[in-house]
Amino acid sequence: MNYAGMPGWLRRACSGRVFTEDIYPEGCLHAAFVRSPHAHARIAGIRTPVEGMDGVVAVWTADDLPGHPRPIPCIIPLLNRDRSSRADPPRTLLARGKVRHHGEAVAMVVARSARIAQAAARRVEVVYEPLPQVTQADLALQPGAPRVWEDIPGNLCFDWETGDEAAVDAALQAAASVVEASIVNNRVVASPLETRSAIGWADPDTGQRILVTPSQGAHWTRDVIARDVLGWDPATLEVITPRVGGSFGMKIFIYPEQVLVLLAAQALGHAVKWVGSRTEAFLSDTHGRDHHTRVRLALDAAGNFLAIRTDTDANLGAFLSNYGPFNPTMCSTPVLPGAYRFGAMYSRVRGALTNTVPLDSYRGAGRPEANYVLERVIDIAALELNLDRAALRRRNLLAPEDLPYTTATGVRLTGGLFADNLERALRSIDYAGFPARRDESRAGNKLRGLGIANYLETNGGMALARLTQPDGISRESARICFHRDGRLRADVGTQSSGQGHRSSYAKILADYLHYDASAISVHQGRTDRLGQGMGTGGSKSLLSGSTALLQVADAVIQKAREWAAQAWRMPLEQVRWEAGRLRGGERCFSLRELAIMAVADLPEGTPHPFETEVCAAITEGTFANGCHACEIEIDPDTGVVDILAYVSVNDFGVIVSEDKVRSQVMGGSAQGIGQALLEDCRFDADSGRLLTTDFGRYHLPQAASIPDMDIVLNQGSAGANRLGIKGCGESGASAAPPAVMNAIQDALSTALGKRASAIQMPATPPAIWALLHAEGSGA
Amino acid sequence: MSETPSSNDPGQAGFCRVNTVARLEVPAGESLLEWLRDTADCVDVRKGCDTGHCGACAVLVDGVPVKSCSVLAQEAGARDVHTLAGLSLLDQPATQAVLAAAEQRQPFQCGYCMPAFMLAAIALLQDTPDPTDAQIRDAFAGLLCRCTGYLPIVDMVGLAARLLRGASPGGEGRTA
Repeated sequence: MNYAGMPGWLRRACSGRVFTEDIYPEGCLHAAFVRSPHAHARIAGIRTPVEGMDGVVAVWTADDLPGHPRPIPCIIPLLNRDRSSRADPPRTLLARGKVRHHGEAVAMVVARSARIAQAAARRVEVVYEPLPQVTQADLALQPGAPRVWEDIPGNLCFDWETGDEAAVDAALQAAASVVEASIVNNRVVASPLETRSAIGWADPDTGQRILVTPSQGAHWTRDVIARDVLGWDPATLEVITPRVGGSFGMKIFIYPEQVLVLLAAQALGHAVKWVGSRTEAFLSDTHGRDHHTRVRLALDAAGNFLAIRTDTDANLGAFLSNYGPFNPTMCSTPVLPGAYRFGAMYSRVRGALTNTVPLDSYRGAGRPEANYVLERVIDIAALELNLDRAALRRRNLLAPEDLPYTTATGVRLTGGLFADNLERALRSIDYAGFPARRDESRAGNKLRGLGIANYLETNGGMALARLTQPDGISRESARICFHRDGRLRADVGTQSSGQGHRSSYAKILADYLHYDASAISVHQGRTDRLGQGMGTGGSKSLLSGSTALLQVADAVIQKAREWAAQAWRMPLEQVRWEAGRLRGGERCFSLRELAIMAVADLPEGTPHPFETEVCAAITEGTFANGCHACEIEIDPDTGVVDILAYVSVNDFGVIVSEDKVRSQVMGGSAQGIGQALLEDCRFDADSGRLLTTDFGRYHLPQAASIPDMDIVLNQGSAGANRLGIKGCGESGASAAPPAVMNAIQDALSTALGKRASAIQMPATPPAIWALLHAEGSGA
Repeated sequence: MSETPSSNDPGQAGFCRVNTVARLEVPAGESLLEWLRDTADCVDVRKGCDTGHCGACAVLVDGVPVKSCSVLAQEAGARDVHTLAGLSLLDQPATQAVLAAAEQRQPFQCGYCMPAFMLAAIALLQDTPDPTDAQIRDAFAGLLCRCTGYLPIVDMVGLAARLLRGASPGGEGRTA
């Protein structure tokens, strides 16, 4: 795309400084969607009396969409226990014949203003014949449950397993103790403050199609929409991702509205824009978690972990989102044994189709769920067997002399400060002094609890690449070019939605190339500037982005050496890159000076001779790890939890931008605290309608409910990459839920004894109060 | 907000002064949020939920933080409305202190909620130049941030308060 010839609104989009909703193309039309009020119904008829309405331009249903779009694909291959393939229910852009969840789009209206489009959408008449519905995974898998898809018996999308079932069952038989528990990873809504939105446009002069949309990677968005859904050559579609207002995994995925505005724009010859409302976000964004797990932990008489077995029912929703089946299976189970010594593990996961919006990755994507199950069952074991929680963990955690170690799931850990993280967290929370504080609280009629939770992450996108890339290798792309005044422009295929990647990348390049950081600009979200890109997800961006940027920086240095050798008439080997300068004989220049010299005699518009793009392989993932601890007080009269102290010790390897890392830990932990205490996605049992469709009914943490955090960056174990970094963005979401819930169990145990382990997320005041005041609770 | 020119002129009931300079006619039946974004070109006012729960749409009406999705544009008639973009033009100590602290600390991530938190911080420091941690958190009640866990923003307000006291002759002159 020629930037100079772009309309102003598109240049604004390319600037990356504005949100999609703040971009107003000239003559733009607006889309609104008719959404199902039923969880499950047959569509008996659709009347669109709005077609003649003033300002309404077009109305489409599934039957008359132009261009024969294909369903949005799920890209995760998965084999069942019997080696057959998982079911693959089609996710069409608009419902055809049936609606399968509350909020599913049935028709699209395009009008001259958003308000007219929304008013017209309300007047589209859809005749529904409601059908029996099911929204919970465990109920959907029961015999006789309503069928979401006629051709998928028992709503069972897949029945998957990993690990050594025979070895685990033998260990369970022989163990001195077996601790069993049912653990709920509650369903949550990602809720970035910027809702999803999209602007489609087809340039009438060139035929080039443009999609402007918040995403976690413009290239993947382009490839799935063009290649897989619309059957277009991906080169005929450019995707621009401007500023993104939070994403948390949810904005990785391809949604019908993005494709539909493109189709409408192409058919109508105008830009078409859609900005989702908050209620549409609750009804149509992918949700996260919703796993129900039965876990069994085998211990010997000394308290050594022998084996762990999980049987999980995972809710997938009415159809599969792009990664849907990945989260409860291949992305989750590798970290189920954590950084503990286990002889054997086995997991079985049943994926259930239900009458809900699809579920997919949410901050951590399966790893928080596994960490939660593990750290909860450890505390339940400690409670049941009267063991000290810290000592039980200490006994089983990998020690430095155990490394390198291959866990029971095949994760090879070469470094990590596992035991040290725990000790530091215990010191910081004053574990030894807790009994006295508990007594103080008791004197004030409060229940005080202390919780600890270790976590282990796998970061780098390696598991996903193994499943989805032809050669199984994770990659990222980057390009460096130079302005005539020597300012450096870097384009990278990852996508920030607030993490601050660009300033971290600029810092990395400035250090490596000995460049003035203020002369470096980093860009993302442009398929027209960079051939490929893997985007952001799985706490991998700093790893994958820096790998690509350092590799392209090396290529730029090589080109600069070649240019200098020719200009200075000396052999290449005599031009050296040393201490941030290019030297040859008596000559010594910075890269910026050379970049200016290299174009001095070239006409304006000539590509810079140092300009380079690379696609780099990411060969090693990283394993962030750490320990969170928190202390809470419960008011038994109200069930309200007050977090009194919070500690987070983390091994993130080498730190590039400390403030940004701390901010990621705080933000991730706040989301974890929200999941543990507040966030509760509720469906009406009779109708299957989602009840929590706004922030008045779905509660996010507010400033008053997030405690100050003592965040320790425990350095000393470098990641296996050029910078020694490890992923950090999702760690808080993995560690905070078990730390908080273990503290709540601990507090409740003073009143309820072993029955305290029954508490599940979200531990809302009514839930805690009900448990405390249940018949026979003695509280 | 004593520095703001007064617009309490009964003849101007159907008009609203936005960001000090523009005096615009306010329509019937539109929320202040819709009107500010669609007509007054104030795209720094964000629409996060439209039900008054997230607070991203906050603006100052006669110096008081108001969720603009939850009031009619007409209710702002004969009043001064300030969005963050307009406030930064004013030479008010609290505004300058909050802007300087935000520049120094960079407390936001995605920045979608940023205008609302900045306005709430400014309004707090106008009335309470030396707020406690609890008062800062209280001033953010009803404002949602999904990225930061709030702590960097609370910290930023503490810094702004110190800058404000250090900068104003009437302050305690205490520095960080």
